[in-house]
Parts: sequence; C-alpha cells; structure tokens
Amino acid sequence: MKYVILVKQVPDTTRIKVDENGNLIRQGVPSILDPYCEYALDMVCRIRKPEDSVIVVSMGPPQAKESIFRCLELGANEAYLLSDKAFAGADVFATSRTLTAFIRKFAADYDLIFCGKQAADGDTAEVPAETAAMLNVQQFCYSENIIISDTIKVTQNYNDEIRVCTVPKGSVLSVSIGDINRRVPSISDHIKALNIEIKTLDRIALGLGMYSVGIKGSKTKIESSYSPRYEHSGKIIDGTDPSEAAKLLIKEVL
Amino acid sequence: MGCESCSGGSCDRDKTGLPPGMLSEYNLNQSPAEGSLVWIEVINDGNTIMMNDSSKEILGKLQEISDGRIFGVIFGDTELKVLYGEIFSYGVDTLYHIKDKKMIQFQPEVYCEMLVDLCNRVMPAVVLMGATPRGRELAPRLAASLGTGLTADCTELKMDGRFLQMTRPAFGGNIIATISCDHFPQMATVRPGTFPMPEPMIGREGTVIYRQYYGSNYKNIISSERIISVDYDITRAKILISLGNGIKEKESVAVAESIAKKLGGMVSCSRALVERGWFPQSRQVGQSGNNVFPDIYMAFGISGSIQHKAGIGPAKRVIAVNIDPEAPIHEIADISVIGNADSILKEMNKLL
Amino acid sequence: MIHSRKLESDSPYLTDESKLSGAADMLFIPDDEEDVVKIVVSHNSSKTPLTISAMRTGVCGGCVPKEGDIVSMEKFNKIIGIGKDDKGYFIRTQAAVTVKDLNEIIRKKLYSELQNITDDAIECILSERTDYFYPVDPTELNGSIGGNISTNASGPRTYKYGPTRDWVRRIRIILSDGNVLDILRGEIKAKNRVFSIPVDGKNITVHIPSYEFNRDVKNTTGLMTGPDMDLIDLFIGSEGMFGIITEADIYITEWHPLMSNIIFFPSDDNAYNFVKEFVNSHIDPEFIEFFDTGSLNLIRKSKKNDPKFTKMPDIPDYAGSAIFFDISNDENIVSKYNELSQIAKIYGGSLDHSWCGHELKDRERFFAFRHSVPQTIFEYVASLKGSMPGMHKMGTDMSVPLDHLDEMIDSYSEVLTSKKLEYVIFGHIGNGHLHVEIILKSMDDLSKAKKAYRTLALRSIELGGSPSAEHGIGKIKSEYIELLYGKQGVEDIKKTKRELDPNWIFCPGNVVE
Repeated sequence: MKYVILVKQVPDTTRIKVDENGNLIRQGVPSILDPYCEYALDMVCRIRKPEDSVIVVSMGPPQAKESIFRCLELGANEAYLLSDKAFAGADVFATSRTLTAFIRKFAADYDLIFCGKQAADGDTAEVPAETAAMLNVQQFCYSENIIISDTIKVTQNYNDEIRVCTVPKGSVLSVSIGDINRRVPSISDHIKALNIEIKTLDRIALGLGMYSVGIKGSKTKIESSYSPRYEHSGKIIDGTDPSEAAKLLIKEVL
Repeated sequence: MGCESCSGGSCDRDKTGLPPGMLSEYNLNQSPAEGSLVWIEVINDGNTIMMNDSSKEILGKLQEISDGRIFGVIFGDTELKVLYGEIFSYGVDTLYHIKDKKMIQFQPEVYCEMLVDLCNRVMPAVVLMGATPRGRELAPRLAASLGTGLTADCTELKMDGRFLQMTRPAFGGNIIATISCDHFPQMATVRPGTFPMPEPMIGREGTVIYRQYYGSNYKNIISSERIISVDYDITRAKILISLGNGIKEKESVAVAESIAKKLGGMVSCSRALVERGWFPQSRQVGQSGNNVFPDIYMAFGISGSIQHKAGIGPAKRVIAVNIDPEAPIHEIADISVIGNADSILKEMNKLL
Repeated sequence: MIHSRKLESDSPYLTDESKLSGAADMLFIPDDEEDVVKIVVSHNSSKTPLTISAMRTGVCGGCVPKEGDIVSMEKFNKIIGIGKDDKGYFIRTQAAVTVKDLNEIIRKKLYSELQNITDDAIECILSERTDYFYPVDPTELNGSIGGNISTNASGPRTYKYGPTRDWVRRIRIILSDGNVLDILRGEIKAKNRVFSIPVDGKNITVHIPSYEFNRDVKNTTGLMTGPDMDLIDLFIGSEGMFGIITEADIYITEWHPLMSNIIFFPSDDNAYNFVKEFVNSHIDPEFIEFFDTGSLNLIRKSKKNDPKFTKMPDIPDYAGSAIFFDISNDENIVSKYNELSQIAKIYGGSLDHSWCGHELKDRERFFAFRHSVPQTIFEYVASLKGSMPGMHKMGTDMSVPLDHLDEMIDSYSEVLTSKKLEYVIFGHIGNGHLHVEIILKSMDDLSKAKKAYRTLALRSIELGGSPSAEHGIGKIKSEYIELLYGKQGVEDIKKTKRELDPNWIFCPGNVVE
C-alpha cells in the first residue's frame, strides 16, 4: 500500500496573544505540525505494514521542513515540500490544486490519501473535500477508525451519526481524533528521520501555471481583517466561603 | 475620469473594464448569475423529519440582506413532502427536490454532482449551506467542482447587489476577516446559531421541481447509527453551566448536570474536559467546539483562552467562578467569583 | 516615595512557599534606592529588625519575618540596561525582576528600550546571529534576581553552567549604616580571610569564617568562605544577612538548539550505574535528571485521572526508571547518540526505549513531565491538610559527590524503610543531588520523617556532601550549620554578621539564630 498524507505547519494558536490595541502578537510564536495532521499520520502509522510506503507532503515556506521532519520522526518514509514564492497567499482552491498536481505527477499510484480534519490556523476544513473533488475520488471526512483487511472500512463520526463505509482505493480521508498527547518519537526514530531527504518541489516541477497557484490562482480575497475584543465590566465577589458564593450566584441566576 | 492605460484624454473608459463607449447594460460578458441557492439539510432519523435549524437561519438572513430569488435544494424520497410548506414559509421561492430513496442518507459525492448540475442550470450568484458537519463536507467538494471559492464558517454575511461579503474568524478566533470571492457562485457555509431564527411566514407558497439522479457514484454505507438525541444542543441553551480545567473532581460533572436540570439549563465544557474524556466534543464551547448564545453563561474553573472566549462572545451575561483572580475569563465576566469551583458547585446544588 | 502600611496577621507577606508563618508590624515598599536608604537608616538607629522580601518564592522561610518590619523590594522590577565586557554580554536589572521577566526580554530580544551600559552594547547584541539565554534556569521562574543572588539559586542546568554565583558580574547593596556598596567581581579580594572594604572614605574590616566551604558539590549551606575570596562571593548566598541588594549585573550566554531526551531503564540500579558512565562520556549533557520506579508509578497513577496531566504519552510498561537530559542539537548528535547507545545497552537501556524532542513545544512537555513528580506530591500533601492542618511536605535537598551516590541511596532506603516510610526519589542526579520525597500518611509519619531527615543530613556530610544543596538555610534548616561546621562555624558566621550589621537588623533568624 502507498499512503499519502497531506500536512500543514501552523502557528501554535494556543500561544497567540493579543496586545492592548487588539493586534496579534505573532513574534515569538512557534510553528508546529497541525495536531489534526498528526492524528492522520498516527492513524496511518497504526495500520501500515512494514513494507508500505508513507509519503508526507506539505505546501509551505522552507521553514515547514521542521514539521515535515516531525512526520519523518513519527514514521513517514518519504517527504516532499511544495515551496515556491508564487504559492504565497493561496486560498483553499489554489492550495488543493497545487496538492492535486503533486499527487497526479509524483504519487499517482497511491492507494489512500489522509488529511487532518482541519488546520488550527484557518479552521476551514476544506482541503480534504476539495482535493477529493479535483481528483474525482470519494471522500470520507471525520474518520475515527480504519480497518484494513480484504476491504478497507472506515468509521465516520458526524456528531449525530456514526457510519461505517467501505472505502474504495484512491479515496481521501480526513481524520478528526487521535491521542490527545502528541506522540513522542524515540531517539532511534529521530536518527532514522535524519537520514531521509526532504525533497523540495517548486511550481515548475509541479507543472503549474502562474495563474493556477498562490494569490493569483485563488478565488477568494481577504478584504479586511481585525482582531476582536471581548469586554464586559464585571464585579468581583470573594468566593472563599463556598456557601455564601453559591447563595449569591443563585440570586443572580434566578 | 480618464482611463489610466490610454495616453489620450478623450477616452472615457472607466473602471468597469468595458471597451470605450460601451454602457454596462450592454456588457454581454457579464455573468447572468442571480439569486441564491441554499442546501436545506434535513434531519431524518426514521421517526421525525425536520429542517435543520441552521438552514432556517440562513434563509432568514438571506431575506434580510437580499431581494433576489431563493432556490432551495433537498435530497430524499417522498417522505420529505411534509416539509414543503415549512420550507416555503422560511422564504424559499423555488424548491428543487432531488428524489431518490438512496438520497435519504448523506452522500457527498452524489449530492455534489446534482448540485453542480443545478448550479449550471440555475446560475445562482450565491450558494449557502450551514457549517454543520455535513455542510462543511459538502460545500468544499461543490466549490472545487464548480471551480469557485468558498468561505467556511461565516459569522456575518452582507450583500451589495449580488456581491457577497463574507466574515469569518480565523487563527482560533484571534482574527476576524472579511472575504470576497471573484467567481460566481460565491459560496459560504454559515456557522449554526450565528443568525437569529426567523419567524415563518405561514401559508407562503412556492414551486417544487423534482429531479432525479441517474449516475452510480454512491458510497457503500455498511451501517449508520444515530448517536445523540438532537435535544441536547448546547447552542440552544438559555442557561449554560460550563466546566473547565479548574474542575478537579469528576463528581462535579454530575453536580453540574443536576444544577442545570434545576435551572432549566444545560452543561457544557471547555476543551480540557473533552480531552480528559469527561464530555463528548458536542458539549465543547469555543473556537474548535460550538459557539453558544445563552442568556447566562456560568464558567466554572474555565481560565478563558482566546479560543474559548471567541465561543461565548454572544453570551448576554457571563459569570465566572475561578480560584485564579488573574484568569483571563474575568476580563469578560460580568460577575467574577474568586473561589473553588468544585465546592461552589456543590453548595449551589444543595441550595437549589 | 515610601509606601507603608500595618500588616494584618493573615497577610501574604508573612509567609512564603515554606508555609512557615511569621509576625511583623509594618510593611515598607520603597520606590527607589533613596527610599531604601531612608528605611535602613531609621531601622538601624532604632535597632528595629528589618526582613527583606520580594517575590516570596523561597522554601526555607528566608523572607518570613520573626519580628520588626518588612521591606518589600517588589517595585524594583525594572530591567535597566545591557552591557558587554570580556566575559560577554550582561543585563543590568533591579533586584525584584523575576527570572521569567529576564528570560522574556532575552528571548524576545526586547533590548531597544534599555540603556547602553557599555558603548553600543544594544546595537552589538541585536546584530549578533545567535540567540542568548540566562543559563542558571532555576525551576522557580517567579523568583526575583535579588532572591536568586541571596540564595545562590541553582537549577538542573547547574550541572553544566554552575549556580547563580558564576553568572553575577556586579551587585549594588545597601549596608546597615545606609551606605551603598557597589561591588564589581574582581575588584576587592580578601587578604587570606580578612576583607578591608572601602565605605564612605573609611575601611571596614570584615573577618570571614574559618571553615572550609565545600565547592565540590552543589552547596548552599552557610556563607561561602575561603582564602583570598572575592568580596562579591561573600554577599552571594548570604540570605539577606548583610544588606539589601538593589541592582545586579547578570551575564547571559549564547544559546544553542537543544534536544531533550528521556531514556528508560528496567530498574533504579541500572539508571544510577548508567549515569556514572554517562558523566564521563563525550556526550556533554546540559543536565541529568533521574526518576525512580516510585516516581514513574506516581505519574502513571496521576495520569489515570487526567490523561493530559503531563501532556506526555503513557509511560511504557517496561520502564522501571528514567534518565532525563538535554544535549546540544548540533551536527555531532548522531555520534553522541551512538556513544549513548553503547553505554545504555550495558545497563539494559536502548535508544528504542526512549523519548526525544527538539521543538519548543516538545521540550516544554519534557519539563512538565519532570515537574509533575513534585507537583503530584505537593497536591497530595495539600489534600491531607484538611484533616491534618500541621502537615507539610518533607523533601530532602542533600548533595553528595557522585562517587558516593550509591552509599547515599543505600542510606535513604535503609533509614526510610526501617521507619516504614514510603518515598520516591528523583532529581539532579548529575550533581549527586537527589530529592527524596516522603509520602506522608499521618502526623506520626511526619515526626518519623523529621528524625530520619536529620540522620540523612549527617550521612550526607559524612560522605563529603551538603545537607542543603540548593534551597538555602533560611529559618528552617539553621541546625545544619552547626551540624556541618560545628559551634566554631556558627560563631564565625555571627562574627562576620556583627561586623557588617552591628545592630543585627537584617533578616534576623536567617542562617544563624
């Protein structure tokens, strides 16, 4: 089997803070491999057999290699970074088109594609389905469990429905759950990863035109943005005595 | 104003990009796209058939911001007929009913094929659906198939003629961005609960058009099981007792449920407790969970990360109980109680 | 302006992390050095005791007053400037700046608003390609620089970088007569064991203790002393006995990317023996920390209640002990790992049975994992307080030379097992400095533990170690001074104290009664 995992490096949104003027402080915010991408990688690593190949691919700036490296530590054995100045500013459409071009040209014989449910920076959750549409294959979002025997079966969770489907080869799966504690590689895993080269591919290598990628290939445009501020002015109550505090609270609620 | 690309001063070509002298009424290259198309999600668990609330909210908003035609689309068999009246009452003018037994279950690939076909026929300027799990799966597939853009999880929509301005949070709610799309149809999914529930116009009528699917791109669904009752929807709660990482005793979950019952509210939580396995994700408030709109939001032991605060932005009153006086939740609280959340919960339960 | 107020009996100013509670009349909060001088002069003339306080993060009650008044330096929280000398860059800070604040400024390079202490230091450091850091890295980041200097604080990285002492360039200190002493390292040395300190045109003669101060192990027991010692070293680690520090220059050093590692061993013995070879290898770790079987089981138990407790995956079942260390993440890392693999194999370890992480997020998780042991114990003890109000944590802070670590560990097990006490061992094994935390179940256990503690302190001294390696003496361990240095030692310290603070106003009760 040949698995392709689409991953993304994101700023660690739990560390982003807002200054007094409502602007984001991005300085000093580290980048991480998106947690959902890690769940997808975890799922693949659980089902893979030793002879299977696990390819990770990410579109991003050169620094995204750090996150790809983490994928190698966690078990991937081939890695590509799609990086080109022209890719900057891509919306989901342009991103999915770039990823699709990679798959068609460099991994056309894949069996399954895995993605995280959504990325922590955009929360759009669109790439899996857009990529599936562009490849004209079936999509299985919110996957929680996968069993591979003669057939491939996946369990999807739609919050109000759990369904089990047969997955045809070539499908795209998005993964929504995994171990809440990020996995930790062993030193042996780290050494193994150091020996794998991360190949960088640019727009030309992918055979894409200027107007298919990045901001020029995007369908949506950000008109304006701001940081919201949430303000209430509150009174403070000493809650050292729980029963007094409880009485006050009940009065407030009823 | 003269044209910037011509050197002569006589050219009156303006920013519409039309050839000199051409009136915009005669621009034949202009897309004929018009009106809005909404996928109406139907909840059908075998016993009850109903419109999803988020579809109603979208229809309400559309009527407020646009005077164009509204097309609705539903997928399913004849059992959906009971919904026609209700769908029209929320503002749909023309309803496409894609009739097939196999369509009762959500089939993103097939739904998408049919929607592409409909969009080519109807040429809507806007396509909207709820940012429910199914809407968020279907919309991007449709957008990519139509070769257009998509803005997910919008919290505000504005229309200028047939042009849509979509607003959505990003970076865990740290940024609110307004986005436009340079292609028709302009597509967006809308965060459930963001727009108010409109009043139905009882007796309003519309046209139903049946269509059928002749392809075979169905998924092989082996089993499907409904899991939670749709009744426990924290986005609809008027009073929310919400628990966070500061809750140390598991017993407090039961205590909170009991308080919520007595007050007629519901119990929700922060991400930390979902991760502890104490609550399902459907109970989570915040950017990666649900936006909630209660009259009173009582945060017990919730520190108040930016992600969490983004989810309770619309709450009318916030009461925070936290042992840490520095916790960011206090910044947005109307009442802050500095104390032990577990024991205050216990006391409240005793007193009620 | 001096802010002052009367202290209520439940004021937080009357206690610290030792949970010892004290008594005092007034609290003074000075704004600047002039204020401090005024406060000191008036207290000196009325012979009123004055206990120095800042962030109150100590664990030995150093800032807990016995009587008199408190001076809290909390408003001295500004970072002043940056300078450079032949030893490298240094940051000039006021005394109550916390280690966290200092780290933040350095990490985010927020230098532009600081003063240049030496010409163009800011431009220079901003143009450097490398990042810098303050290497002492004490576990308690909310402690003040003044407090760190007064206790000669250390942390895990002391293994490689030494304690606070090694990183202090200069201090400014207000003496009991109100004179300000500005001491730059290297300027004033003792003649044998006598200082002649120039103050206000005169010279004060100060005799320093005659005992041998053990610098072979981590040691904060008593005043540092020694022939031809630098004056600055008398004040560093003096626990506020001689004056009030208002300002200090702290060296920083070049940062390099690090790799955090945890390697698991089948049993405790394997891990000790591994460490003995590890310290003599070419691997050059930044620190070496140890977890025994008991500590790992403690974490396993806490994780059952809250899987996110350590933010780490489950500890593998085969793990009976663990060694945690950081190494430089450079081009030699593979050869270092090869050497590590060789040593680990001998003692039943393997690179497959390990964790490693280099991203900031991961490295922080490793430290959270390390911190989870004392935290669990702290929470456990806090939960007992309800039924047993007098209960407190009983942890050792004893260091011994690495060669004698075996014997010390044997003593721990002998003494504590004979008293039927349950305990866990973890900590700075690279410095021969393990924390033994006793899991107390009753007040009876507490009194047994106190007796055991004294026996163990004696044993650590016998083995050439220190009974207080990093926490200091404060008010709760003053008996160790006599244990270690005898009656003469105590008298020597008192003599030095009297020469610098004749009216005995500063922090009475610290180090010596």
